[in-house]
Amino acid sequence: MKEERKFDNYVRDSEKVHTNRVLSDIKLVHPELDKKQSNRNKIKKRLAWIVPFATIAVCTAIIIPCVLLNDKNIGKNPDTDNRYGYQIGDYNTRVVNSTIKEYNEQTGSELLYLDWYDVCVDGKTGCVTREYFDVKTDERLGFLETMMHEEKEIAMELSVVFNDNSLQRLAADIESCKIEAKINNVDVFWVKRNDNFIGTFLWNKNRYFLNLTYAPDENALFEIVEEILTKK
Amino acid sequence: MGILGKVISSVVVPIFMSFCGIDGAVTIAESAVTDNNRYIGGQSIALYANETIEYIDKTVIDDVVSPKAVPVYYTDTLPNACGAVAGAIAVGYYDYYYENMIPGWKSALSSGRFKTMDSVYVPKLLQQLYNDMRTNVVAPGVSENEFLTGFSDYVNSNGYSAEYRSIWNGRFDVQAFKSSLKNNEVSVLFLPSCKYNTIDDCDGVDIITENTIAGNHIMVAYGYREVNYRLRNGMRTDTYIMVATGLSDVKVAYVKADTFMGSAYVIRLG
Repeated sequence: MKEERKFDNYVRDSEKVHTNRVLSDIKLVHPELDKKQSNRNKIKKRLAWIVPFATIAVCTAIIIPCVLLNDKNIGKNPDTDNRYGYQIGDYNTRVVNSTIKEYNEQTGSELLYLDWYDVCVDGKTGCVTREYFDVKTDERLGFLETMMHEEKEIAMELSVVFNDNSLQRLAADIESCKIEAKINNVDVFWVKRNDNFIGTFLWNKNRYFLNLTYAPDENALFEIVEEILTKK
Repeated sequence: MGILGKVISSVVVPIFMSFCGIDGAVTIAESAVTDNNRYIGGQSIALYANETIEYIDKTVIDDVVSPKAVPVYYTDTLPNACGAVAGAIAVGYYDYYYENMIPGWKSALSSGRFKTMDSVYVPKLLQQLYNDMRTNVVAPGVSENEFLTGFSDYVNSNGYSAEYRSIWNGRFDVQAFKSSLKNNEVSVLFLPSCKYNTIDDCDGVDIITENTIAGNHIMVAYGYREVNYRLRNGMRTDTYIMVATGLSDVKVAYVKADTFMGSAYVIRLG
């Protein structure tokens, strides 16, 4: 085995020497070939820097647009388009001590609400206000208020989501509410779901959802939306 | 698949399934009341699967308890509390018929319409049932046994008794369920894999959305709905168990009756 390898190496080395000798002879006879080769080598050296440069340029051209496209704020109007999406699990609710009306009085906000506080079944304890909050940051995302009218005997659940942010479960309601109505110049989308009436509308950049139980028909929904809009 | 694999799948497996009372892919052996399954509830993970039905007309036939609803409660503070919430819904329903099931509070108006959750009595009821059912004590959530025992403990403490009659025998017993509805009795469903539906009525079009809950879940059944559609190319009938889900986002929903898998008990108070 060793002898064979020695022999192979000898043959290879001999071939190299022979090839080089032939090339030298050719260059003596045809010196212009040597020049061309020399030029080719010079060009190769000059162009050598282009390959890494081109690689970097191509990668940058791919990566930067991906980064930009991922940035939700690119191309958006910061006044109206600053919205965030919250998946189920990203947000939760908890009871708070103030009604939406009291929150407005305390903070100077102008959130819409349904003023049934004085005609609510069980009075103060019958009206329950919750806030939606981001489970990671504790930021308040909106309110959820439930109560029942003692005369109409309609149970209502009103959600207001700040800045029309998307809360996954409520966002599904927007997709489902396909029928449009116009109430006090506000577009209201509604649907009858599992014997309840659900409506949604956008006002002053906030998204409102209304869910009624025991409402006889959609007219009850329209009347209540109108009642809410009179608070604007 | 090798010869051994073919033998196993075509001979051994059917024999094994037959021994266990497993009838093909549709029915399972009746679930005994064991502590093996835990029910922790959870949020809908909302795998939306929409189906749109365009119909010429439809008729809806409901077999429902009277009054035609149950209260809809939920919790955003108690973890793994689907047992306590389902129990509270059942208690709230029976409070309409039995005095003082919720001491100091009436769950319904005299017309039979159930009130929304208040800020005092319903949270107290939820906490009591949560404790009575030993939620999260042995393991997360509750077992069937813990639910039924805990519910009985609560009812007993208010001077009543509870009996449970299984309406699951490898299949959901629709006739027994309908019979219980006529007696104004609600049922509790234990669902190892919980899918429920909402139906949006868009006047000539029904949009059915299927949702899934992460985790085993317990719900209260209070009605049976049959929807008969006349379509352009024939007829279609869908049947549902009407349920109070105990969830904050979708409080009332429909569980498909023909694919329901789990266990179910009519709750009879005395």
